[in-house]
Amino acid sequence: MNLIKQIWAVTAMNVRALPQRAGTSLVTVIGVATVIAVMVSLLAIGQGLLLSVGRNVRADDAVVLSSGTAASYMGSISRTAAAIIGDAPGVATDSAGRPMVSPEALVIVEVTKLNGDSANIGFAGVTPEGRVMNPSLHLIAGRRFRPAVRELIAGRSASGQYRNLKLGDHVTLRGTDWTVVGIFEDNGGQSENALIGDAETVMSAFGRGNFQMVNVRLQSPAAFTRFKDALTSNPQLSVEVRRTAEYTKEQLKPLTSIINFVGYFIGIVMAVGAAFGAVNTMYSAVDARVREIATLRAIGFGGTAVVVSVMVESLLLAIPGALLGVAIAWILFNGRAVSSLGLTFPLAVTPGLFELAIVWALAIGLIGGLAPSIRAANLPVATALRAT
Amino acid sequence: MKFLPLIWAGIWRKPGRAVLTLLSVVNAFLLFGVLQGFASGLNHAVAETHADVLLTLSRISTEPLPVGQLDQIKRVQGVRATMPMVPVISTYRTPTQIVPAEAIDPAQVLAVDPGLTIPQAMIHALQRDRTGAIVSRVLANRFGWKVGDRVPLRALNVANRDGSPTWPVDIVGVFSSSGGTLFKNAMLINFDYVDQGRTTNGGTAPVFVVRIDDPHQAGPIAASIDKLFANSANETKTATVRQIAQNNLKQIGDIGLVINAIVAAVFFALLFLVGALMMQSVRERTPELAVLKTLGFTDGGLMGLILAESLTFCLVSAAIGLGLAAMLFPVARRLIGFNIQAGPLMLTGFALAIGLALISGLPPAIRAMRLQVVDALAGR
Amino acid sequence: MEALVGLKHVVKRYRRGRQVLEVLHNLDLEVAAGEFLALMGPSGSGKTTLLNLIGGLDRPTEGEVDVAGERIDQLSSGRLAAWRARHVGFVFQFYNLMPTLSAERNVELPLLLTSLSAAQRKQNVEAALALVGLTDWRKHKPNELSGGQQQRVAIARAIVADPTLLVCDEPTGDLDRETAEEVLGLLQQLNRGHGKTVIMVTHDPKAASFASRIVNLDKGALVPAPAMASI
Repeated sequence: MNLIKQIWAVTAMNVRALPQRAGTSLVTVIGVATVIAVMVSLLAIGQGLLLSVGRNVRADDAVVLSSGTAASYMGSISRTAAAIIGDAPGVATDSAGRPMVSPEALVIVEVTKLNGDSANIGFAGVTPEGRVMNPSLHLIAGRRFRPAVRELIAGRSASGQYRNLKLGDHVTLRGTDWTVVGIFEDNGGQSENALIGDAETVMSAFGRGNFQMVNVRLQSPAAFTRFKDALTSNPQLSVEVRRTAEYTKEQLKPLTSIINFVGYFIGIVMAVGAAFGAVNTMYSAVDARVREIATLRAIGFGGTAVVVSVMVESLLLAIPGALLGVAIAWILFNGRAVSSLGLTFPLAVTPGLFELAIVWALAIGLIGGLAPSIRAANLPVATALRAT
Repeated sequence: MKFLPLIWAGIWRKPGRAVLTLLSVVNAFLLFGVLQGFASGLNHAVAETHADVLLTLSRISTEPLPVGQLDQIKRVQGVRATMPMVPVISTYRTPTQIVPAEAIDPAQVLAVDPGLTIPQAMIHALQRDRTGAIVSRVLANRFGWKVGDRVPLRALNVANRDGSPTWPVDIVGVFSSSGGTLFKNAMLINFDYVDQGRTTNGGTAPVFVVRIDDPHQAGPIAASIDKLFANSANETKTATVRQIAQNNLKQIGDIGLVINAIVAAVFFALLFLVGALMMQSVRERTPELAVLKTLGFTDGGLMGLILAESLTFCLVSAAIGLGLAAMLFPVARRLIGFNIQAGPLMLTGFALAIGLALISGLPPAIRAMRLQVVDALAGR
Repeated sequence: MEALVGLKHVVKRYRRGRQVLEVLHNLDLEVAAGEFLALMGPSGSGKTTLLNLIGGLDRPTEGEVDVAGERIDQLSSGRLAAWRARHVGFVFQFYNLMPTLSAERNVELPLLLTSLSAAQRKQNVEAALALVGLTDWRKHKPNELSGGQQQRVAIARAIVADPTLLVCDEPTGDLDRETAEEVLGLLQQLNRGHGKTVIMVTHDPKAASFASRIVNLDKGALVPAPAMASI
């Protein structure tokens, strides 16, 4: 306890003296804040992407695709196959006893951004039964499309970003004309950047004879294995069965890997620079108080107390830096929509990133305080007492 | 400069502190050099692309086009040569080692790509060997391939008839191409090999390469080509390679802006670091600076001295940081084929160094200038 | 002898917060060329202030300061700096050498303000160091020299530009008896052997005994004192 008291006393003394050294102390705070702000902002891109794509994805969702396809829109699952899938074990049923499966057609169509650039978005064709799978999806304007007519509903984000997708507009997609009869939102999920129509209509309009994928709600996350085994062992089917959550993450992997790599790489380089700055600050802090520290040690305060107090001071400077950095990243970028590679999503400064920021700041603070604290503890007391 | 020893002594007054600050500044300029180099490399790559080469893709960018369309395209006025191209993005040995292989028609490849330099003998070798491949030197260096090696490509997007995604090829040549070519870092394999071996999409290619006579006619010719297939089942979208490269960059986002923002943030923090430490140095040296005034150095002279210290320090650190970054450029060229212009980068870097020196050095320099000799000597 | 330094009705006032302190009251003083003058007095008597005025480090609130025919109280601070470079050499109690420069580089400092070539500067530095007997120590940094040696380097620096005046503020205050006598002997030699005018502030009567004239200062005014045996 004596040690704790010592540490407390010395640290309190140092902290009280901080305002006198505002200039050099700011160096650490600003240095750390900059590193954290940049790193968190960059990583927020990856986080935003994951969150946005993972929204509305449940643990008991699975997706069935044709085997060997590189992308979800290239598959070919026949109606018969869809029926077999619906009968597979492990599939949940709705209140009316029908299997909760949603076979979907999926085509990529070209649309024009408001600024004239072209972009590709998804156009999904869903069956009436498949609606129950997605309770969070609801219309915010207009009405749902009717079967056998070329009507579609546009996601909120798509409607806002591309031409001719407002309520009542006529839009030509791959040579076919469609009417926008409704706008929908889906809890911020990626479907808001796409179009939805009737499966049969979509399939006949774009020359597709089969569905591209089947989304399935399982009875429970654990039911996945039986479900998957039943389908993959069935010789009539040539399909791949994946948990939707994993599948989405995997699709994104190349992109998120690069983003995270860049974020961490730059973060590390900057952190190194900030660490040097922190060491500098602490050396200056120690230098400025050589006589005080020596006096304390002459009085009888132990070396450990001095070391710890310097480290604590360094950490105390790093933490506001981290908070400032996260705040800056949050104010500037949180929620800001970013469009990249056909995806639109808001940047997300998540609690996870906040924790990361604190950890990094502490690391920088520790490194910054280490060498100077050892120096402080080993000052030759006699000479130090004479220092000006 | 006769004042150099004095300036140098001022900088190294506290060697530990000077070294640490130097490292921070070097670090910042290294980051700057790498980021800017990357951005300049990207821009350069776009600029290097040829304006007389067009790419025709399906309007729905995921669908392939039937090769039958090539004859019609060839007949459009101003078109010099056409060629189908199937990108067979593959991995080699591990899932992270990507090989960009392109299945092309050897008979046409030199005609459609003016920047490509491959000896005729190598072209013939590729034509003779159905499973042959010619690779760029950059790729050969990266994976250690030589002529005669058999490379099993694991394609990500094309399945082989035997059900596997593996396409074995034999290296029959290694080529070097500087300047703008579509195949700078690529492996060229036979279109026939891939087309005849694959399970789906036979007789199609996702991209047609179209060489035209006059780059100024690129716009009208592209429009003519697309008009040929408008309202058909396979509508096309034709654009120059440069246009497409620029669009691709735009897709990823405004990289330039991001890089500039990061660099700005770093230098802002650096201003603080260097500024605070110079100020501290001046405060510590009050008696010495006072003595200089007693010797006859003017107020302006002392201000100049501190600024000179700041400038010397920042320029030297910048030189080291930029120098280190520049050492990476040839490596980038060898391994990635990335051409980075060092000259403009250095100029910008040094301009930044000067700006940094002047802004961070000004408050301390003014302090030194205003120093009252009498007070300072008396210890006040 | 012609008065090299002449102070007429010099008054110096300072503002300390709200108070105004008058440190020198209507002072008159003349110093002849070739004199070795000692300024003595208790602490707070204003002797350092007086020295600063003579050395051109400060300007009087009222009155005239004339050195070698020039009214230095009327010079702007820029001109004053240039004047100091040519006319005054300072020696301080705590030496005030640049800790990061070698002895010879320290001595060279005043010459950087002249237009002498590098070779000429080197020559003058060597001569100055030889005069104070520290030729063998010219590459050493101050922290490698004893107190006495550092002060001698300071003296070499003070004379290297051949100034009109040598102004010393408690030059032996930080030295032991023996070293102090060496330094004072050096000053005396510069005065007698080389004709340098030396004005020295000291509180130590033994140090003052090396001078040719002693003047006493008390509470900002001169106190007449018996002159020591002069040359």
